[in-house]
Amino acid sequence: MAFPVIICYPSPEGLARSEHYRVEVFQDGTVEEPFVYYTTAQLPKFNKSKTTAYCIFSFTGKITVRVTRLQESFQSCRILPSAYGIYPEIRGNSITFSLDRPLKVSVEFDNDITHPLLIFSDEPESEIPSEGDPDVIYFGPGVHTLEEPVQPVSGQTLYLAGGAYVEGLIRARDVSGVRICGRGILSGRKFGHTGGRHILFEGKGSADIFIEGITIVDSPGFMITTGGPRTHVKNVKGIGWWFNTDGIAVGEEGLVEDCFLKCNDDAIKLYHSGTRVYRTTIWQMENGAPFQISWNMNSDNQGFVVKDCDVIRCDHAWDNTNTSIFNAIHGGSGHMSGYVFEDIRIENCDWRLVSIQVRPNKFSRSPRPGKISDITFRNISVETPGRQPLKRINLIQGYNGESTVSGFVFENLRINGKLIHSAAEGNFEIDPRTSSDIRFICSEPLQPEDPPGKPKHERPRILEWTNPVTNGLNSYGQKDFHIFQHDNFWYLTATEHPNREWGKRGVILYTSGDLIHWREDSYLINRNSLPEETWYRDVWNAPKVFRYGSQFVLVFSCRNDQYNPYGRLGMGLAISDELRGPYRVLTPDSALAIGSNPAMLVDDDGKAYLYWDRDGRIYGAAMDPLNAKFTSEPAEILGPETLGQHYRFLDAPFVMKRAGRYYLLYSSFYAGYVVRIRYMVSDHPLGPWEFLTSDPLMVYYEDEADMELKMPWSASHPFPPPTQVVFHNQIFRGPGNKYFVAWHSSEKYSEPYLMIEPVEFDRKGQIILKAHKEKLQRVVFK
Amino acid sequence: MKKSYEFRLPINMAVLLCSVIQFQSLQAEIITYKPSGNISGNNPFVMPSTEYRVELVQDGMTSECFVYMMNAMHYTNNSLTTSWVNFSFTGRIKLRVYPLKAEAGYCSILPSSAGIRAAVFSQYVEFEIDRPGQYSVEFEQGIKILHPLLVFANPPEKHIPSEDDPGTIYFGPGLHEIGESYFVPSGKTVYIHGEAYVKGQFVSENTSDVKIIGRGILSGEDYPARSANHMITFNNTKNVLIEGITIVHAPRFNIRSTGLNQVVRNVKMMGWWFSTDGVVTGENGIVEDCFFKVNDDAIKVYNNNTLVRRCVIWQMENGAPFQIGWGGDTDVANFTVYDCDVIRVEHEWDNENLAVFCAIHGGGAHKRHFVFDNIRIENTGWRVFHIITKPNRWANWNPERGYISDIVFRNIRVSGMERVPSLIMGHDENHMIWNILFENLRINNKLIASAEESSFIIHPETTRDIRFIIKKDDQSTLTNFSNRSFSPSKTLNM
Repeated sequence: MAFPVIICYPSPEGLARSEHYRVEVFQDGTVEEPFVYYTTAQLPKFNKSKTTAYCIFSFTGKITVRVTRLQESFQSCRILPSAYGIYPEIRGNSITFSLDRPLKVSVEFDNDITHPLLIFSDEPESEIPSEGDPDVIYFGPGVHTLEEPVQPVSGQTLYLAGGAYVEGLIRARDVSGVRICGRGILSGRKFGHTGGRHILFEGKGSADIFIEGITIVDSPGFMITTGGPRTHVKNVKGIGWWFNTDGIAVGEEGLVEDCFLKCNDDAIKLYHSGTRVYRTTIWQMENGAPFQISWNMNSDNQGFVVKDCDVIRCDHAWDNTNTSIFNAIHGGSGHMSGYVFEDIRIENCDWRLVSIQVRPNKFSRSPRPGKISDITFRNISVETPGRQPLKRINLIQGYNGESTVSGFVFENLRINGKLIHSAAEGNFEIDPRTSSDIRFICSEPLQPEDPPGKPKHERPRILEWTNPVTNGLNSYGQKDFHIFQHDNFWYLTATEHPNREWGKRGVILYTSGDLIHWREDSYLINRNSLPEETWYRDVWNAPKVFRYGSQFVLVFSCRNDQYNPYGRLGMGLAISDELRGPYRVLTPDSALAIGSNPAMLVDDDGKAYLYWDRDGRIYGAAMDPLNAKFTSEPAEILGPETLGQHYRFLDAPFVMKRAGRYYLLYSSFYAGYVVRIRYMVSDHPLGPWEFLTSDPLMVYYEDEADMELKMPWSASHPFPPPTQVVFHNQIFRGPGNKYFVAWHSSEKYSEPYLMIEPVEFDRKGQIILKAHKEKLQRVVFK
Repeated sequence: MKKSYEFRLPINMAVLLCSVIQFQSLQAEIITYKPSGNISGNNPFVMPSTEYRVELVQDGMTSECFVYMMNAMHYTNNSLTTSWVNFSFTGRIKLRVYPLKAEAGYCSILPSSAGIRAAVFSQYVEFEIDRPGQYSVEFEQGIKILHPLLVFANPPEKHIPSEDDPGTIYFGPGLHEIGESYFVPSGKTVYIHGEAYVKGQFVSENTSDVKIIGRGILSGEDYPARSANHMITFNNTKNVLIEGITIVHAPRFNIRSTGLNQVVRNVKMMGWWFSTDGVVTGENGIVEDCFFKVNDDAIKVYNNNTLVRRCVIWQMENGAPFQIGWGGDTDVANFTVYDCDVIRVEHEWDNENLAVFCAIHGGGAHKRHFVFDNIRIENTGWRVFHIITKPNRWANWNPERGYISDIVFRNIRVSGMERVPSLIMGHDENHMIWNILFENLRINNKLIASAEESSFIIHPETTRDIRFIIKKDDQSTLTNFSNRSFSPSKTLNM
């Protein structure tokens, strides 16, 4: 379907809608409100959620989803899986977020899972069977209560239209080519815990079963089980509450893709040769494993692939043998081998990652357990709540000298962002007597170093950091940060707060491989090596390095405190062939002009422009950096005349070019403590400038300052602040070639520090801050 | 940090507190005020002092005087508590102060110019006063002291309105909660009884003949820092008298007023947050006999014909005792400040608003004709003069104009350190500063005859006529502390 559309389905009469949530979907001026279903916990003694709400709709194009929480207010919201990089915007009791492709997500408020909301968005159906077709068992919208199981025959299609709510079971033996599809719901509610499996195709003859698009809720047992080859389960959503609501168990050469499972026993059984699982999201409840290798397989099986999956939650809290993410309690006589788990992201799990054992168990009848061998775990990442260590050790053990585990490779396993290089580092217990060849390898260096512009790694990666970023930077404080990339590294310069022993030091270059860990690299200009009478000996405000052809240009603003203390700053310029210098100052005798916070733009055509502030206004001019000469008359580009009633005290201009358009960012001071960051755009590097939006890019209101800073009672604190500020914004390319904004904040009078947040540009070119003001920042990139 | 507010009232004190005690004689009397019922050890904002006990002695009769106390509200505050007593009297009285947590050792009474000395005994100190004023009784030495005790010794009230007077808004003894914008209409007198505790804020606009008087307390404790209104906001109000009350816990300014003919007299202001500026009046404003312990500019010398006299200022970590201005686009002139005591300046950060006499003029106005005469500054360790023009975020910078000129600093006496040099500098040739006369400037008792003799940076290109002179025979003309009169201002006939 080429044109953008939203398809919602009729709401079944007689079903109550969720009292907790309203969902609205917006696209190009239209709004649709999908019915929000909910199901209540069936095992309330153990189920951590009391209800689970869900809604189903399809769309193409781009949509905005608004979720309104109807009963409780909330402070925070996040959309899982985090790897999708969807950040909600909070407005009152609603949140909004955008989707540009169908995804199944969990919307979590305040980290609370008592009443979760799942949003299942699908692609529109490609072929819809007709109701009168004899090969079709058709369930139209509405509630259908079936006393007997549906028993499809070979070649039949079972169609659950969107809006259909079918209370029933599906059972067949040795049938092939059956399709079950639609956007409807198959409910097992009326069967309680005793109805057996929900969709069951028994027998090796049950070949080529295709199940697509439906939602399976309140299953009495396993959701989908097939015995024959080539089952294809696609885009199926499942919610189950009982301890044996396993998710999907398919026969040989089965394919599971784009599914979402919230279930209370093993989510996916990796039992039969050739099972492949792609792009599936799992919410594992109290019991069972997201990926179960074996309980009691008596046949040999090999060739399993699980790739690009997310485990968004794992509610494990019991010491059972089946409570880990990757699990086996192999008591059968079979040899299970050849597994690849790749790009699996696990979050909100604090229990156990791996428990793979060969040993007799209560379900096995084999006198001699078999083996498990050859498992590759590649790019597995685990994030625990609060980044605490996992609560249980990981376990790998066989049963005896014959019932062994062997040939496991953990390649680039990350726990809370840290690469695991050894069993000890990952808190693995590996039984040496019954296991062999268990290896940990890290093909990547310790610090992620994507060459800017051409990513080395095709797999999505996650960069996480906490604002402010202080690691390796001047602990006396820095302002006016400028970050740029060069030779696979990021470099930073800033206004340095005086070190108490050294005074102002000049321009220091800092280096980082990941934007988070910095180290002092070198002096670009050492203030103490300059003659005492030099006009630019002191202050060193906002130095910045720019690439200009093969040269590096350093701009700065300075004065000499001996004969011009407290006076206005002048701007200077220096060039070098190498990034680290030596820099030759091209303005040795006098400043280029009075002004501070100089920033340069080197345009695509090689022309350079300089921007600066002076007396609360922004100035600019074209320039020839190699000769330190303006090539156009310096002129005010923003001030009272251009901004009119919007004029406030301005400073710290920064200009960048994107998609043929020039962006000018600046700080705008209102009286009092409030600082707003605004931006304007132009088709020409020197303007005229216009607002894309009247909203400021950033503002810190005093009420938002950290509670610790505002706390009403006296406390010992080394510096005196009442609020937080935002200043000197700069946009640069970071890892994955993504855009980031660097700025400095401080609590009034405190040491200022570096803040980094990801930014994006929307279709209109507006700058969007994805997780503004969140302390923990996270970016997913290829 | 969690604090406990446990407090045990001494029995004899509790008995004494039960009544208002008046000792009448022909010439001498003491009027004390019972604390409002909301003041208790459980009240985090105002409580009975755990630091001091105070007795008043007159004509051989001893009476207990209730001691109020506040905890500091912001962790930059250097004091941990501030205690105070508030009474009215005539004649001559003796104060006996018992520090409750330590023996009395050292004691000094500020302002030093009052010339009061305390007799120190092991359990208490005694000193006498014979005229109204605001005093700081100090048991600790240095600029930062932890537990100040302030004495607000008022003259008796001259005109106490009756409760049923239709022209009066009467707040009798006890707690009153009036909200953040209690409007005072034209012609009304708000009376706050000495035993009243009013939580809230007063506003008035386009009105005339408005008074707020009494000996009671006005508190902004219900409002977080920089929320709600100024404690008293009068906009375009003519003929104003604010007299005698004590203002505590301001979230913003204590008194911010525009209009004409405004008198602020004998008002005691104590704020903890930044932005708790003291007083700014409209044109023809008089600020006299007031006390400030505030954490932003104490007195704003902003509008034409502002007169400031006989004030006592304890400047906390932020703000200037005398602020000439951050901005302003209308030319203003004719300011007189005399006979004031700055008893402490707690500055220690390198901000441009941290100096005793301060201007950071960023507007287009020409500000001129200031006289600062006979100002005594003690317990200071930072910067005294900071007179500059400079663009700033509170002002509309005009590239063409914006000047300060014609200031006389006469008989300024500084005792303390100058860790940061004074600065006189214009921003550029369009924003000059000129004609500043320092006459008999004394730094630690040394007369200063030139900028070189003290710690000054005077920018040569953006200033002119900055002069220092010494007139030795000028001493006799000085006003001094003993001339404090507390008489109604003759100029306004209020």
